[in-house]
Amino acid sequence: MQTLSDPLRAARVAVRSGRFRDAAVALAELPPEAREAPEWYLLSAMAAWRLGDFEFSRKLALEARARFRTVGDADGEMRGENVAAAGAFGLGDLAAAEQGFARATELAREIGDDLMVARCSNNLGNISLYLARHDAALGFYRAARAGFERLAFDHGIAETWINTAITARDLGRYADAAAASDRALEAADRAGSNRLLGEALSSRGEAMAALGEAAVGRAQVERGLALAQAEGDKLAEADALRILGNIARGEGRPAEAERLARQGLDVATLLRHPWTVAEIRRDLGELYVALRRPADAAACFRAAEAAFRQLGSTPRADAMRARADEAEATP
Amino acid sequence: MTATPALAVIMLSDSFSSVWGDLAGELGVHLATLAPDDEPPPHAVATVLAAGGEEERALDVLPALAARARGPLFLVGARTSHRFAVEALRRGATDYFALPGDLDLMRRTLTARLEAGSERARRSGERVVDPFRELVGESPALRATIDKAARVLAHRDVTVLLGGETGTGKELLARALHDGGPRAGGPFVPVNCAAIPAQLLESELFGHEKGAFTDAHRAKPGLFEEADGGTLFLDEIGHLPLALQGKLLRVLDERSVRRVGGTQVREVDVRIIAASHVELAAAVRRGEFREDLFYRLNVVQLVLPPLRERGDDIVLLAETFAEQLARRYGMAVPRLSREAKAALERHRWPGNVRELRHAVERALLLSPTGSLDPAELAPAGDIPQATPQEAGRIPFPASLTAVLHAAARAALDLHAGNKSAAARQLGISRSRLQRLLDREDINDADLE
Repeated sequence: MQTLSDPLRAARVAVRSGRFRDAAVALAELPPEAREAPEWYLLSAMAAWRLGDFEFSRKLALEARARFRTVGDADGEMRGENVAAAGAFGLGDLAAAEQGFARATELAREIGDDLMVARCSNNLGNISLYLARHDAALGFYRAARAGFERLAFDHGIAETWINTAITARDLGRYADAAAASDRALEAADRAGSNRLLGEALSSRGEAMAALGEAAVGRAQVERGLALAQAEGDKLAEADALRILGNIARGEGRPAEAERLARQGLDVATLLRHPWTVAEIRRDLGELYVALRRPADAAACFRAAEAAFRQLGSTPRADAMRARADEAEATP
Repeated sequence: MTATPALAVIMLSDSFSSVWGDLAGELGVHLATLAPDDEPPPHAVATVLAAGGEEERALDVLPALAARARGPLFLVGARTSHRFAVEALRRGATDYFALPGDLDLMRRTLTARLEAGSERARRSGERVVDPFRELVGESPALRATIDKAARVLAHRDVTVLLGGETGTGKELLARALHDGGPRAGGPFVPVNCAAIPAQLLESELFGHEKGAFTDAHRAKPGLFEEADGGTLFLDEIGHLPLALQGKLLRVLDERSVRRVGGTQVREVDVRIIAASHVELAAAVRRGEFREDLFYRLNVVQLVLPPLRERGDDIVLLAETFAEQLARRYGMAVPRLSREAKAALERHRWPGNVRELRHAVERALLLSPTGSLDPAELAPAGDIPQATPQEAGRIPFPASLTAVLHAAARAALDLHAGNKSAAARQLGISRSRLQRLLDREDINDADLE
């Protein structure tokens, strides 16, 4: 009989509590027979993804999916599909990620896993946003939010509002972005999550600054940065630094803007997060355009283009190429 | 004091007995072992009927247990027959797990329940206090609305139409009606009809089947289906296109939806709360809103008063916001000076509670620590702004140009800056409205 003192338990607990390096070590040290279980592949895939090895994670997840399917475990198959899609997402294979999340959604619907349906919908929204399909992204976030509402899952609700705010900002609809960030703040408060509160504050601060409330916006992003640093959320830290750089640029302090952006770029590069790297490069490029440093601007736009292309975000990559060409044509 | 959630296990046999202690420990919940006749504890994340080898007896016990269980009821056995699982579900089990094969599936199911359930429990814990607690204020105008709302709380299906200017808290009231009512266990799904492009609204609300239109790569349930068992809050319902108004009316009458491009009719159990910051009766008179739908929605009407009519609530709200926001920003709770209070009371607050909250936030972030600068709360020289109702009243003698300009401004305020809607109301083109707003370019045609 399978018991809970099974060999995978330590790794499972480590994954659940976010100790991914410990999980990877525990999984690697298991005897060969334990490494045949579909769950071994799934847990290894999850650990590898969180440790940034997307290629390995995807291979493991696909193997897990196949093994779960062989034994007729629909739930396991769905989880394997989801992690494989996340791996594809990390690698910038957006088409594969989109297909994978869509399949995982269907499987989750079949077995009635509402939480997974909502999470997949949120992920599909992120893919649509990367591909600049804004209406589709907003639709996925709305559907995900409705699912999270059904489960009264405030963490998920806050995340979908933050993503909605980012989408509105991307469209230049700053009042909508501020309103969505407001909703994210309410949900983050209810969830009692400082990590989400920090992200929502940075998002709101960015929108407020764009609406002409630079001092208020800066104070909000500074608080968002402090919360991100306290929570050890490096991605949110990099984004907050990017936004603070933009606000400094808007307030006429280019040296500070460049310093903050570079600081954010260092954090994002260490994380190997192409979306944040691309956004910071793009904003830095715009700063150099304003400073009449066309060669530096073009280099930044080219780097942003490469990062967006790595993500499979062709429309954004093309837009960056156009900006680079414009900068290079500037005497 | 919050009770620790429990995993309630009723052991009909000793099979798998070693599992439960480990599982409860892993989930971080208390293990409560019960006899079949015991009452499941109120904080049970789930009740498990452990019946390896005693499956037939479990089927006998299930119906009575299902009637008493307060959360999901899982049957755990050794049989892997699909027919047995179906029978278990038919007799009231939420799910059936055949061990050892389904052990991990069961663990994940319980984890997901616990994750979502902890937040739900926290919310419902708050709910027993007062569903209207977010609507802060003691003014007679607000209390009258809340008293009326309290009288419809117990009604599960009654449709409610909420009125009130932008920023008065219509969504808070809608959520309170949901949280305090019999549908509280279901989802509350808010939709702002004005925020969704008209061409997408139909598939967002009613869903679509794969291939229903060019971008429909896969089937998608609509928000009506997502809100099944709960409440769908349709904010800014006046923005619903006429064609969709008819479809909404059919859903309300037939309690079923058909996805775009689909033939299957799906039953939905959804309560509708609608809101509009413009007077829908006037929209009916202009032919912009269906009269039958208006009467179908307007079963109970609740109107939230504007902040300027709520007297002392303004200061009370400002103090409440200052406290909440100071906590959010990790700052000391600031004091409201007499000057600050006076500034708050002087201002007209055309953006109502939302504007007040933002003003307090701005002042908190920009004022010296420990106080709120009156100038940041309501800037000096703050000219009382005309409310939509007052905007039409202009001092005489006035020029015809001023009258036209005032009418244009009033219509724009009434429609929250939506120029197309304002132009429609005035019966003029959008470009002509723009000329009226620009004022300096009013020509003879405008004066006719």
